[in-house]
Amino acid sequence: MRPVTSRRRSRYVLLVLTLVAVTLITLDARGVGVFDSVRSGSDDVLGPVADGIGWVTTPFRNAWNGVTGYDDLESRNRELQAKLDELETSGLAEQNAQEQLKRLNEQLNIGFAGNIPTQIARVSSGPFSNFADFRLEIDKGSDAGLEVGMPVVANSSGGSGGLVGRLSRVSKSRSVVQLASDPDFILGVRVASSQDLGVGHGGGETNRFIVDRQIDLNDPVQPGDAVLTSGLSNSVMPPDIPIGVVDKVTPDVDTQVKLLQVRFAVDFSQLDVVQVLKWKPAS
Amino acid sequence: MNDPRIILRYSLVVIGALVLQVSLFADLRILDVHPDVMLLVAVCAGATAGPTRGATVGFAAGLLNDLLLPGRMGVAALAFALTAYGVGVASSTVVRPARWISVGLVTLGSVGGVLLYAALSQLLGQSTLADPRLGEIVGIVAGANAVLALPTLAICRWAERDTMRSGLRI
Repeated sequence: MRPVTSRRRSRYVLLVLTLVAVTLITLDARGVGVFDSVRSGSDDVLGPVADGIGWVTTPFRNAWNGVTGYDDLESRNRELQAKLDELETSGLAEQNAQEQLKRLNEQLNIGFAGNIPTQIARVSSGPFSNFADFRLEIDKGSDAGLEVGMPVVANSSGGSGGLVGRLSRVSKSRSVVQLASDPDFILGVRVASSQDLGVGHGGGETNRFIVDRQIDLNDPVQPGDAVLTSGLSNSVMPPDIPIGVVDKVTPDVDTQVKLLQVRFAVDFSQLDVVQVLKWKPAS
Repeated sequence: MNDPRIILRYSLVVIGALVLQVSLFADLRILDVHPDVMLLVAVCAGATAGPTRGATVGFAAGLLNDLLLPGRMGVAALAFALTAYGVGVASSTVVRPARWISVGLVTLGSVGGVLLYAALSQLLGQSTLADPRLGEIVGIVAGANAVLALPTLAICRWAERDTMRSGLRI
């Protein structure tokens, strides 16, 4: 058993640490800017070190992922083998290779960006939290002209691509992207077919974008309609970036609006390369 | 923790754990859950050196972890400090704990640390405690930390070797 003085001292230390932690939480909640600076600085310091050690440990990590993801690999292998057999029998292998090259080229040429300058960035890491995170890190920062709030887009395989999210933190050589699936990601949207305007937010674990405001019961919105960023004068996004396609429409009689579940145009789990639009909101 | 050699050694341990967490363990996932070596270091420090050291090391490890996590700064610091303190108190009731007792304490501490972090984050507006994968996260983090417990306890004993020789647990 510890002596009484030791117990008193340990309780005193715990009390002080608890008070310091509560103070930090309160200051961060009130938006004290120094925490963003500290986090950005740590990204700059940790990023290159983690990349270096990550490169060294790549074979081990690949082996681990091969073991733990064996079932996925096996089913994927079966799919690819079946596709290969099909291509070989129809003599389309060469044509398929050319098609894949064309798609890769298209990934660097996003049509909806218009005249907005873009910055290509590599996704350097996924979430560090075991809980739902809705963030990812890219390998470009303020040195490349990026700023907080800039939209991030990507092409999807076989599709035209669309919105990924926006920059929530920018350090010199790294940035953190808040994904559009984050429940705190709120955005004005426009339904392409009817031009109806609404407001939505990320659906969290559902991996859908939820439009739950301003789409009236009478508005002719149907599953399959494309949903774009609204681009109104005070919007945080430029207009006409595809968000996705309406997956489900649920009328809510109480609030007299239609709830739209939008399937994202981009698969966030498959992102390797994204493009940051160097565009800032008017205000 | 007044001895500068112990401060230096624990600084090396905590920073090394952070780098390994970011560059290696964050990618070693089972069912999309990775081990939490920062929490592991905190509870091992508590199990090795008692509640005061555990709370201090847990606070430092949690604060560094907060730099990576999306929640408020200080949440992991508070959760890890309280958890490591609890593990330190439990550990100090046993004069010379057997290995399996230490591993058991580290495993239970890991369960408590994840649940406490989830509860504090939930209070601050995140949906961590309501996460449908909470059971998986708790189980896998605790299991992985149990596997890594013995080498981490040995590292904490190395960091603590001067006080261990004198039999002092603070």
